[in-house]
Amino acid sequence: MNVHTTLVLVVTAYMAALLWLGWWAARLTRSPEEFFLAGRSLGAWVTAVSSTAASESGWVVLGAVGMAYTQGVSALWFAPGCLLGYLVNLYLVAPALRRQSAQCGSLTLPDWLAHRFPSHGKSLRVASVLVILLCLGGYVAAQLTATGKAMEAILGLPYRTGILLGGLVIVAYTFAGGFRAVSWTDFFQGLIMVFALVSMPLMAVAAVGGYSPLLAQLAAQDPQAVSPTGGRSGWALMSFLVGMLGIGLGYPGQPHVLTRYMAAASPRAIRQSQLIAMLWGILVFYGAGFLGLAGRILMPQLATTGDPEQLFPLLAKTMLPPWLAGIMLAAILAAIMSTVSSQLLVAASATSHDFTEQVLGAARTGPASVLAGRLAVLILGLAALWVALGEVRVVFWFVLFAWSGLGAAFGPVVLASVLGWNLTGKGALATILTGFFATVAWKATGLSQTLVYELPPAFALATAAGWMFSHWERRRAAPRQGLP
Amino acid sequence: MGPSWSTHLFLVVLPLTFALASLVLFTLGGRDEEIPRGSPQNPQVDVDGAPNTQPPGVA
Repeated sequence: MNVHTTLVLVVTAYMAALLWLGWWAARLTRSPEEFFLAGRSLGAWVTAVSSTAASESGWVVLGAVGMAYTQGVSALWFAPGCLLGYLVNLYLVAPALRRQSAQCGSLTLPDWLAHRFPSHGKSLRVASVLVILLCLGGYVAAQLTATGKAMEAILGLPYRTGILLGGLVIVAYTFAGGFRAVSWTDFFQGLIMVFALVSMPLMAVAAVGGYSPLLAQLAAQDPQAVSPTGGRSGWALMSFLVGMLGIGLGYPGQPHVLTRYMAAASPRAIRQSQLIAMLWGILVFYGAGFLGLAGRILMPQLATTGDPEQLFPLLAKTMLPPWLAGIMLAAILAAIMSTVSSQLLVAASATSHDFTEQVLGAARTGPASVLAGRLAVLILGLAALWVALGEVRVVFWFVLFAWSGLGAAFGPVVLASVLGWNLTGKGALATILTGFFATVAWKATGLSQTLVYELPPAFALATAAGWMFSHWERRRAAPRQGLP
Repeated sequence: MGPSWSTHLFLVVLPLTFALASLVLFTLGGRDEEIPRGSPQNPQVDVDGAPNTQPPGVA
């Protein structure tokens, strides 16, 4: 059997497994709580691995590897940035969010915000739905184009056929099985990702002689490649560190990650998932970093004649037997598809549950609500496919700002709520709007390139706006209530 | 110039610190309490009226 046939068989088996999980989940999905939150039934392993797989897109297997290849050791600053975000999410946000959302019966993040701040429930729902659709709509379309590129590189399929194939599989299992299908497919895909990003770096580092020879060879190539600062100093170093560590600020604001905590079966599942998710993150982030560093020694020609972001698939094809290379390449698809399906479901639930049912007041019975959710998945999924097939390259702009937009809009309000800070309804609304528009303004004016990555300043502005509006609202309310 | 001690701290000690911090936080975490079936957190029936088939949860 030749290499191409083996790759096709492995990827076909992977796609078939995703569709089977979708079909299996569909048989268990009858109520809205099942479709949007898997009936709050996720165990520790599924909660942990599916939430982390949903948050890490193709960026971790392609972009982070390429960044470590290009910049050397200093690129690995993204790892502590992300792991700090994991710590905050898993130990502060997850337990409180799971408890509060179960108490008020919230099915979505906007649902939970509306229950948390009932005085501005409708405004918060509308603002949240708009931010989610604006950020995730483009994100999904951009990730679908990445699916097309990955299929093209792995199987030699035409770009548009790859988008169609990957997109239709995602829409099919999300449509059928809703949240349960998305969570279990993400769990399955998260296991493939961690397997690939542990075994590939181990083989690559072993191929260059081990840890110490790797660093010695990197230092011989370029002494700055083994420096944690990368030769930066002063403002350049400060801006670099704020940007890299600031990535972690985005985690508490990602609705497609937060809903996994809401769906955990119990606080015990949340507690166990904390350790599992942290271990997954450490292995995946440092695995990606070490793979990039070793790749710099194993494939030095990529720096001048190739694309360092293609290091992972190129090394897999060069170093491994075809069946194992197929599994490694499926990890790239897994990273992309696990994020797309999670975002698609969140966008669909925001549209059907929060907007049409809660804001517009469309009364639906349980089965009708599930059908509306499925239709929203179908319509939004097909719309994203249409955008991706149109080869609108500008959508990649959305990928760069969607993480920041969601992080700055929802991160401060989620943190304030779970930590019990005295945020009012107006304050929450001001936080969401300021976070989103500050991200857009920072990006549009080019400050992201000239000053610092947009998320830390947008997050700080949103937090300040929330505090000011809450303070103002309390001062206005105090005389009316006869308070001092 | 070869790799300095800060490189080893950054590449080896830092990830181990995260693993250790996670373990410490996990160990210091609170106890899980049972929520009885029929309480508001774990109702007898689902939102669409179907019987709740989930096992009793913990809080």
